[in-house]
Amino acid sequence: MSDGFVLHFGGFALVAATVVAVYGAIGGFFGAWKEREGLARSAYNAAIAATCLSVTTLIALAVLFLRHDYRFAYVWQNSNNDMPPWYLVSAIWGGMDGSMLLWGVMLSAYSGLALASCTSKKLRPWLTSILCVSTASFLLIVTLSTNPFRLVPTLIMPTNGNGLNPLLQNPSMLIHPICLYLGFTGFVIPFAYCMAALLSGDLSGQWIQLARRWTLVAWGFLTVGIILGGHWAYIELGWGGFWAWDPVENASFLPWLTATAFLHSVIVQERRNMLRIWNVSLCALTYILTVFGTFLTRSGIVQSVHAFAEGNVGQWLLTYIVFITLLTIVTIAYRYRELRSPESLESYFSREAAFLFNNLVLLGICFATFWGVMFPVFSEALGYEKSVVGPPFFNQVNGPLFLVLIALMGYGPLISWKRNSWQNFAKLVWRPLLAGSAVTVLFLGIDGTRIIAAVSFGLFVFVLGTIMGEFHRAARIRRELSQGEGALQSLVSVVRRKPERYGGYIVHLGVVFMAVGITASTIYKIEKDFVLKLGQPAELGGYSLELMSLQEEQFKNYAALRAVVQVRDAASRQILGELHPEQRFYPASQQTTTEVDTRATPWQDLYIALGGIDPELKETGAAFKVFINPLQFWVWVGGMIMLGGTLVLVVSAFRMRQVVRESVVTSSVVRA
Amino acid sequence: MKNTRLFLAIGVVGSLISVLVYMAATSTAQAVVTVEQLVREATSRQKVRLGARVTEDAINYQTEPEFKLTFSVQDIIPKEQAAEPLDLKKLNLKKLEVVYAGIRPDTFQPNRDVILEGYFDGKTFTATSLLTQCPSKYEVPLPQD
Repeated sequence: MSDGFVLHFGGFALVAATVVAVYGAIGGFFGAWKEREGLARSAYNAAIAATCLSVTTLIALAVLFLRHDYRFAYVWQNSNNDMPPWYLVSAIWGGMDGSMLLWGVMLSAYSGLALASCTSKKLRPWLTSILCVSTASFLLIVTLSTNPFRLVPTLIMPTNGNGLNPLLQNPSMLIHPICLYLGFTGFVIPFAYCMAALLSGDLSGQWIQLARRWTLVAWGFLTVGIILGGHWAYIELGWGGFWAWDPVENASFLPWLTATAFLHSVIVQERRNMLRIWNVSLCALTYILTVFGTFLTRSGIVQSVHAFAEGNVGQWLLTYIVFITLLTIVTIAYRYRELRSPESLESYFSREAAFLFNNLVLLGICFATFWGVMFPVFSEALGYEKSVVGPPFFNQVNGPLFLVLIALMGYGPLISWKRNSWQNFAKLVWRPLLAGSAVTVLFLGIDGTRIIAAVSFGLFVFVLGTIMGEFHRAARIRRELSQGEGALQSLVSVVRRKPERYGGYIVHLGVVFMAVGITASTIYKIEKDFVLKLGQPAELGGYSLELMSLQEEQFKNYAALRAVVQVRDAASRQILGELHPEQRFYPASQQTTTEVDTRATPWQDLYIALGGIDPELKETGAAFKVFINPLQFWVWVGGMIMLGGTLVLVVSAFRMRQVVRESVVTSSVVRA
Repeated sequence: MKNTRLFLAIGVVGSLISVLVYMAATSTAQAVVTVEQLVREATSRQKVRLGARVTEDAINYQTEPEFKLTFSVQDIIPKEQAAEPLDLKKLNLKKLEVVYAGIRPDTFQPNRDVILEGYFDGKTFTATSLLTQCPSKYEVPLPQD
């Protein structure tokens, strides 16, 4: 390969992808508007070409990293010779430029997928245009503002790079950003379907099913991404928690909330043909919030521990947000009459009302979180002293709202559509309600001062009871209908026969487990900083901790200070194990990181972080941060159950169309 | 109107949540202040957030009988002004003594920027939380010829 080729290939592919996407956006628009099939077809081809070109761009960047080509500023800034290949790949999204490129590439990859799978002749031209607008805008920002193919301003090739931020040299960082970005960018498809339906005037039910299906995919990735991010924070940052209401976390949380609301309100539209304007708005809001999230984390508008370097990319993103918001408002206004639903809410005591309240609470949490994130900006803009709100604000507002949400999760499935009868409701509700109340009373009996904990755990048991009741009733009917099905087999066939319903319940089950873990590890957390000296055990929460040794070790790209802490049961003196918390120093970047060690059991996590050496004690002792997080384990278990449920939902959503298509074919055959 | 129930629900839930947000915000908001501001006012204040730079003065750290980190901070001069070679003494930046009862973070050093949360009694700043900011963020200046 000639040298000039290597130097210019990536940048050229990026520009080509951008140009082709811009053509797709404009061509698609006129093709759809003037109903010119040839033009629409050519825009569609351009969109597919943009997908191929942008993927090529990403591969080109990966190759530059693997070749250690430090003539490229971005490669120089984010990698060095000592990094193993997998971290070289993750270095692609370790900085601003590459992460923006990854964003654009994922957008265009999703666009390609959505277009290739779209069979609706009426929606596709508009879909092409909207998807290309999104791809083109991001690729344009990358080309003009955050181009990762810029060269270093020196003629000699540097022999070694700066290296990736050591905090990001963690296996979670390989998957977590990918999942998060696949979640974020995936919401472009439901948004595009929604806009395509509005612009083309084809407001039949088809778009909502397609939007729901792709929302599920993006939502699944986003959920996994958020949970992995929490897990990374838990094991890497050493402060004993997994969620700090940091702006970056909130940026991913906002679209998650609106997407969750959408996934619920869609059901109301499918069943009762209500809330159509609402759904269109939620769909657009989710997409806008994903762009807002990018803006928030890359503009430096609010302080965050994660903040990327500042640049003019913020202005570009803000412009795009304003453009998309206006487009959405105008389009909805244009179709307002057709969108208005003929149905109305007949009773507050109905399934659709429960869904409505679920949506309002989710949006309330979204509003409160948004307000909290933007509080420094708002307080200053309104002429007050610049102020911030921290975790206490978010916990105080969102804590109760989440409890209401979980209560609705238990109550919703028990009531029927339109109007409900009290007798029926009472028949279904009394057992779970009794179990929940018993737990609350039990907790109050043990410790009367912890009312919130008692109410929460009672609530969780109530919801668990209602979900189990749903499965139990359905499985019993299955067993009566089919001879010889075992208990487990009948549960499986319940899920297989109605995956969109029972998949949802599985997700709910995961949420309950997660809520139990979050509540317990927040309320009953034990936390202490202390100095451990050789041969002098200390006790905390039923554990006895003794420092056995403190050693320095040299590794290829860092030096480690490693402590060996023996853990015993304080009462029986039985040895439970050894923990090895570490502190690492990376000379290349002059950074210190802490590697925590945990002893995780389903009951509780013992979590130890090495807080630093004491110059006076030298090698005979060190300061430790120790946390005991009860039921922490169930947060991750809950996450995995949620993932399982989401997979069931996604598979069923993608199969649904085949079923519909087959049934259409059979019915037309029958008619013929 | 056929949608009365719908709008009533939205109105009631919306107002309740707004009240909740308002109450939580007023009870937990912390003013963002500068060293200059604190020293000038010299009165005790509610919990505030202070972004400042650790000075080169002596840092005192003890671990027993309890953790206690004592140091002083001054305001961070914005980059635009710092571009010119400037004499720090001439600027006469106000210093503020800080006491933090906790483990010294591994990234804590003189000249690092820190975010402190805590109370000012008119004389010393008692920090309840201490966060050190990574000086490099993610980007470093490029090598020059």
